[in-house]
Amino acid sequence: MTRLDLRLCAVSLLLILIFPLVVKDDYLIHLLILTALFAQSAAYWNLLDGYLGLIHFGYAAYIGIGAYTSALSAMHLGLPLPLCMLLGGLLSGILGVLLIIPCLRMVTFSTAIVTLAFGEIARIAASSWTTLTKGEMGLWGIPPLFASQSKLLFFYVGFGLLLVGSVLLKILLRSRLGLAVVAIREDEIAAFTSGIEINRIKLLISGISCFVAGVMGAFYAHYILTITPGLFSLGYTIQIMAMSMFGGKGTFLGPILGAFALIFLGEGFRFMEDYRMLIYGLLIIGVVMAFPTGLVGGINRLKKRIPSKR
Amino acid sequence: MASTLLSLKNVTKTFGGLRALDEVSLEIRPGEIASLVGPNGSGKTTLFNCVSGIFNPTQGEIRFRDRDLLPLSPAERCKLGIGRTFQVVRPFMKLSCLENVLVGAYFGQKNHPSEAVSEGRRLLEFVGLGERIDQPASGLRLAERKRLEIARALATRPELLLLDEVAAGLNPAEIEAMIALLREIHGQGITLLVVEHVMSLVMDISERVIVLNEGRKIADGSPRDVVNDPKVIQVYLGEEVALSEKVRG
Repeated sequence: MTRLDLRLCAVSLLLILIFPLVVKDDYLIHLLILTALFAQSAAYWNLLDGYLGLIHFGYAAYIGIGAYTSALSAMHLGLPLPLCMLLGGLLSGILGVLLIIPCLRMVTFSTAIVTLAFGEIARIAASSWTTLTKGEMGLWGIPPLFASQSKLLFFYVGFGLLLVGSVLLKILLRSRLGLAVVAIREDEIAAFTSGIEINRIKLLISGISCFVAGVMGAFYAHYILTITPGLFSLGYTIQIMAMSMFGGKGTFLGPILGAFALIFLGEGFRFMEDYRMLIYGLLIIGVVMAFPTGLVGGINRLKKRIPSKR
Repeated sequence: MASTLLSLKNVTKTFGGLRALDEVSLEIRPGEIASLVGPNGSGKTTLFNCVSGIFNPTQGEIRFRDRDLLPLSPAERCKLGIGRTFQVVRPFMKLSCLENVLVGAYFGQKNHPSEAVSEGRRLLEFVGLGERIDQPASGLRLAERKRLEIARALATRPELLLLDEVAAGLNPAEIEAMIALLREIHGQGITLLVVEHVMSLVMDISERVIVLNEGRKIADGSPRDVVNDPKVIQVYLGEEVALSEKVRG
């Protein structure tokens, strides 16, 4: 990132943080909270897929696991909510690591199938284990993170999590670990014979990525207060993937931009009613075809075309 | 220093019914330049893969400085001092040349280097890529990519460097330059095991030539002895000789 990019990020962050103080529209604020959640999930899915090259089709399941773990431990064990959210993240992280162990010996496409299957199994488990999860009825009566009716606090916690998550992600990517991650994506065998313990790093990154999904799921649970097994569904994973690709897979800002773009485009197309998803889908396909590297790649290409003044 | 750096004992590797390596035994002494030659499919790259740990042999023993290599991962073997390059080059395309070399420096050594970046720059200068330090590897020509792989392998501070067809696809001038580079690397005390088809390079630099055919070792000796070995001649000129034998018979 150049200094200009950094300044742009700082300004947009500031604008977003002031936004709910100026525009007191509860629905818009709600959308922004969801955006923060999706942006973080897309960014950490992108760490797995875009940076490490480990394709994951079951990512939403970890959001669901985090949500249910945190909600249930708050309801049944009465633990303080931040601790519940941490537990949700930890369980997701551990399960994230366990799932990748059998995938270490597989080619990419088998990993895609295994993760896809895991997502479905987790969803069905959440739906059938009715004594614990209340099944398709959904779990309700989850204690809220903040008692106040206002969404402001949720908004700031959501974006606070996104900010902290992004800073940590940037630090990770700039570290030696980040170099190893990209080297593995570029060529596993060359990375392995150059001294990188590729299996250890795949497990570590899966753990980190799923931990974050779990924490975000937990935040969601204590914000929305009702969760259903639908949270685990492939649909959400695909939405997260679409955001990441739309914004630019394998780039730092791409998934975050993608989350903003797709959530607000999706809202913007509401007037088309039945045709909404059709247009939305065509638009995603169009952008991905025009800019295979996503919005960020497209912007970078435009930047190169405009000769800089210096 | 041990008299043997790398030793293979009765190494066999089968892929289904194919015996890619068949009871191969050989020893590489510290400080030598040895070449591994043989027709296509004779098992040279398979042997490299067994040594570097891409896979393990079906049977047999591989030791490096008298340590059993088989339980070790490729990364551990690299840290132990075995570096390699690939026949089909595998640089990290989207990473810059310096980052490529840094991977080797950061992860390929037993101890964390204190000045990896300056060492990386020095290595890139050494292999002749000093001008390209910040360019992505995808922008390099084949000859440069091969040099980048060598620099990446050198960054792991190997004792033994396995070079898989570093001259293939290069033009005569580039081959000359490659020979000079290999000599310099050898001059730093690094043992070289070279798989090569370009015989000018093999004959020029090798102290010892090992010949494989259909997974078996058929000759092992000085370059001059090996080219005069009837078994080797038969392998390289086999069809014609066999044919003329038939006609005569």
